Amino acid sequence: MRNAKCNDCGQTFSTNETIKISESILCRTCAEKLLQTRKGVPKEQIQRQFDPTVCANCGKDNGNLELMKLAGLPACEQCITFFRNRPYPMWIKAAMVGLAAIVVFSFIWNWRFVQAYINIRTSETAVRAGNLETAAKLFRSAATKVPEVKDLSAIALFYEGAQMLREDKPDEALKLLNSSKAELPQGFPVDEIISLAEIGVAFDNKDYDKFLTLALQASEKRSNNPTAVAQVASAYACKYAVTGDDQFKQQSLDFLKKARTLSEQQGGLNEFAEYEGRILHRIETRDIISHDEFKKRFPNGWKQQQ
Amino acid sequence: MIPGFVVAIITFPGVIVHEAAHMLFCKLRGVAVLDVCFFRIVNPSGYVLHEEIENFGTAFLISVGPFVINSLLCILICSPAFVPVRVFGVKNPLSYFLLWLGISIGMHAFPSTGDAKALLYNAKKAIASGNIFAVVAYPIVLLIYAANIASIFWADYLYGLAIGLGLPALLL
Repeated sequence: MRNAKCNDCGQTFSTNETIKISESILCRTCAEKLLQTRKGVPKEQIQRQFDPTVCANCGKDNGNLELMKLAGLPACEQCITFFRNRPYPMWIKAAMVGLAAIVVFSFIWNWRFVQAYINIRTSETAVRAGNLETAAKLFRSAATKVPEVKDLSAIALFYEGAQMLREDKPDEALKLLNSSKAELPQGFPVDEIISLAEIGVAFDNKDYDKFLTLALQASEKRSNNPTAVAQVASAYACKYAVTGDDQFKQQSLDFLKKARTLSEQQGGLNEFAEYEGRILHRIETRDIISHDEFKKRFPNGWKQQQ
Repeated sequence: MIPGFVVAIITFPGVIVHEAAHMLFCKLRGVAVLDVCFFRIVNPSGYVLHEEIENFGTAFLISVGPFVINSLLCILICSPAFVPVRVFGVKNPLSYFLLWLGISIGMHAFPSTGDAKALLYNAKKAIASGNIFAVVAYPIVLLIYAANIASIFWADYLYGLAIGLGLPALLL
């Protein structure tokens, strides 16, 4: 430790207990007296003295040897090491560990949402590829993972219903589609598909009057849709097959012609050809057979007899 | 207008992480931390007091470090809450807690004007000693000041929202 002599009272003090005012080294008492009598001493002329052999932080006395400096002040090795590697307080460490735990827990807890989201995105691709069965399965899986979102279950029912219709099971399709309707978000053509299922049910039940009424209603709503128009032709063909009334035959052929023109315009002639064959077969033979039976009998399609 | 100290109280985790990030870069670069306050209810609501820095790169990292750390933590914390809340609209307390935490941290990512002053001081010193690369600090300092002015109009909050909720939305 080093000492300094007060320029005013002449007593000796440790350097750290002295203050430098305008080049004069003073003890604290004399410095206070001076500052009281001489007001307006600029702040920059008042400097606390630091003993270069005593640590400014912990007060450790290094004898007569000067210490290293940190931020302009003498500091012992331990204090310099502490400041350079200052540890985070325990509460900060605990908070960071807690934060990491919450984030990891949340990722695990909410993982089902991510899985459901992936299912939905994959099912969108399946729908675009026309794979309704896969789309239905994926949406069912998403609905199971996130049961609180009612839309998902309704969409799964919608695709399941559409798939049933594709498999020529209109009765089951109708039940599924009707139960999906209430919760289904906007943008799904559920009424259109329900109408198709109702037509299918009427056909299966051999209720050809209802078939015709529903087909006419559907074709009014979708007058540019070749399938909707062909359904009217199909219904009239059924009526002709049952009654033998030539008027129904002519109406069937008229609607079939219109459906063919629409199909040609829209470039879907290949898909239309099979349906057209079934209708023409019905008119020709007055035999009403199901889609499956028709495919079984005429795997390569049916050609009208000349 | 909501007083700054009220915003700081509501979003206090962001202040703590900001100061902790300053301190992290001080520790990584061996800069002595003389004093640190992680949070208090006066302006500034937190600070890290360190020794004078001789190296411009170190000064740059310490000033800008919280921007990186706070932004990354914001994304990390908001991401587990994003899908349930934004995609499925499922309202659960855990997700909302995470969003508050993440956005609070994200909105304190901007370096303060104090950080900008320190960066500018060190950049001037570095340029005077021949380090021309230190000029990169000037546009950054300008950006920091602009961001702090824009914070009056909630730009810091919008930034937190953008990286916490907007970025995952873009990625999905």
